Amino acid sequence: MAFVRLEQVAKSFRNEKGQSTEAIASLDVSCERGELLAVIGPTGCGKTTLLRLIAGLITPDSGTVTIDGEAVRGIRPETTLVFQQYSLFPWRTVLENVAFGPEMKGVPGSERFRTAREYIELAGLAGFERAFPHELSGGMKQRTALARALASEPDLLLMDEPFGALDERTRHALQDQLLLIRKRRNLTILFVTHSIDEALYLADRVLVMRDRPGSVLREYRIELKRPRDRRSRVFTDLHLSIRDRLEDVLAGSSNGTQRSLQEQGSCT
Amino acid sequence: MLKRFFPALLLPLLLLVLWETAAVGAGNPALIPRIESVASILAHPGGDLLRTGTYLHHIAVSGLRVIIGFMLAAAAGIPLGLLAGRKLLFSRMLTPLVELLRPLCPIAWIPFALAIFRTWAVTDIFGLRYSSSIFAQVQLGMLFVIFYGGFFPIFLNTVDGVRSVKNIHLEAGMLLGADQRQLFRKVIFPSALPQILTGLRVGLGICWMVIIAAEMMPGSDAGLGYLIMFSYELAEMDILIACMILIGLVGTLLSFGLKKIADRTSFWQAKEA
Repeated sequence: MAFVRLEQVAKSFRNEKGQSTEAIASLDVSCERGELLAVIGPTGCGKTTLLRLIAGLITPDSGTVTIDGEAVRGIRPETTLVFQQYSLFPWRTVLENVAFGPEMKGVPGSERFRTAREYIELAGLAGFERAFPHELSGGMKQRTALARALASEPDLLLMDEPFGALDERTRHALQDQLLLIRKRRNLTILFVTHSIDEALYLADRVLVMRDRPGSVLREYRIELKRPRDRRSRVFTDLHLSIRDRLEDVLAGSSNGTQRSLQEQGSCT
Repeated sequence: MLKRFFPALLLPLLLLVLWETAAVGAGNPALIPRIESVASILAHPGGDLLRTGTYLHHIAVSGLRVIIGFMLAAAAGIPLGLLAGRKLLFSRMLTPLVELLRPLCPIAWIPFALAIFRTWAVTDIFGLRYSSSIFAQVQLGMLFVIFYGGFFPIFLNTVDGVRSVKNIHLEAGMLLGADQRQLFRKVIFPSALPQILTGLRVGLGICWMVIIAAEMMPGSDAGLGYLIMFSYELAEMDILIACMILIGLVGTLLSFGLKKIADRTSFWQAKEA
């Protein structure tokens, strides 16, 4: 039995004019416990909608979302989400941000700061406990967001293009950090990205989605050993194969005409 | 140092020179007093002015009225603003009334307040009719107009602060396990705090202006507004100008003090882009 399971899920959104757009239709996704699943696809394919459905922030129009055998009804305490944009509380220090989850559970001061320090260290942020978010670089902010999410001790971590805004070197460093954390904690991770490279480097399995409405186009099981070599033959072959697949999607959905690169920039 | 302060001091110095020239030229202290006589009044805070007491006493009376009225305005404006910013029902109930009353200048309420509250003071509520305490100088009518002047900026800024809480912060808070109460205390309130403080600062400034006007009305026998009006009636222009300077100074100090507090709590706002 899969840990996270979406069956025949559909979700539409209405704009101000009352027109309805189908974000995702008849979507089937499953994710095993402990798996790192990456989801990739063009702009408007409903990647973010998928995460928000699993997080319980929105409810599906039809179909079912279950986690650990139970239907998702609203926010589940053991699920947490790392956002694409910087979601840190700017009035709190790094330490106070990371301690937020335990604080909400009523963990007393000294104990929750001890927990927070542990995760700050795990995220590679030691020494920055007293800094405020505006004093941090983009990479440091996302490390803090990751530490904050982990400190609430989730079993399911949802990540919405968390490293999308970072430069390449920082992104690679954070990817390695994530793999390291995953090794130490028993975590199921669902990772949305628009970078093929990132998906291939991190995931056990990659789902390629198509857009309008979003559904799963193809699935790749990545059985490369870690640490993965980005320059290896298998890696580059897979990279090309997924890229072709994505280009087919883009070509198909706009009646054969190639869409501009700008348009496929990010998926929100 | 000189480079920085000289441009700032140039115009005020020019103003002083013009003043002194005009005073000497007019030769009539009941029209334009000399700088020295105004400065000498300010330099003697213990000196009795027109048998009404020292100017420190008048500042204390005006200040106490403002502080009490302002605190009442904050005590009503912040909670109501939090509610209206968060709950549509409260917003729908309060907004039309607020928009109706807000453009009505608080000073326009002074005669009405005098008619309703007469010259009753706070101490009268507690049955201390002839109390000599400073609270006997805090008239209900004045509190009413100060409250009225301070309420709207505090209320409206609080509403706005609550409404501009970022959705991503709310969602992050909920996903990290905050219930509705915790969300309010730990996310919405701290996020809105800088703007609440802006409302308090604007509100306090208005309160200070309103009290001076209120004290000029009949029924008042203390406060800077009273003293300035009384010195006009007795053609004591040096006291009148000294009062103007004091009103300006106290206003600046109040604004500066609250700004210092606000800067401490809103340091993150300007830097967060």
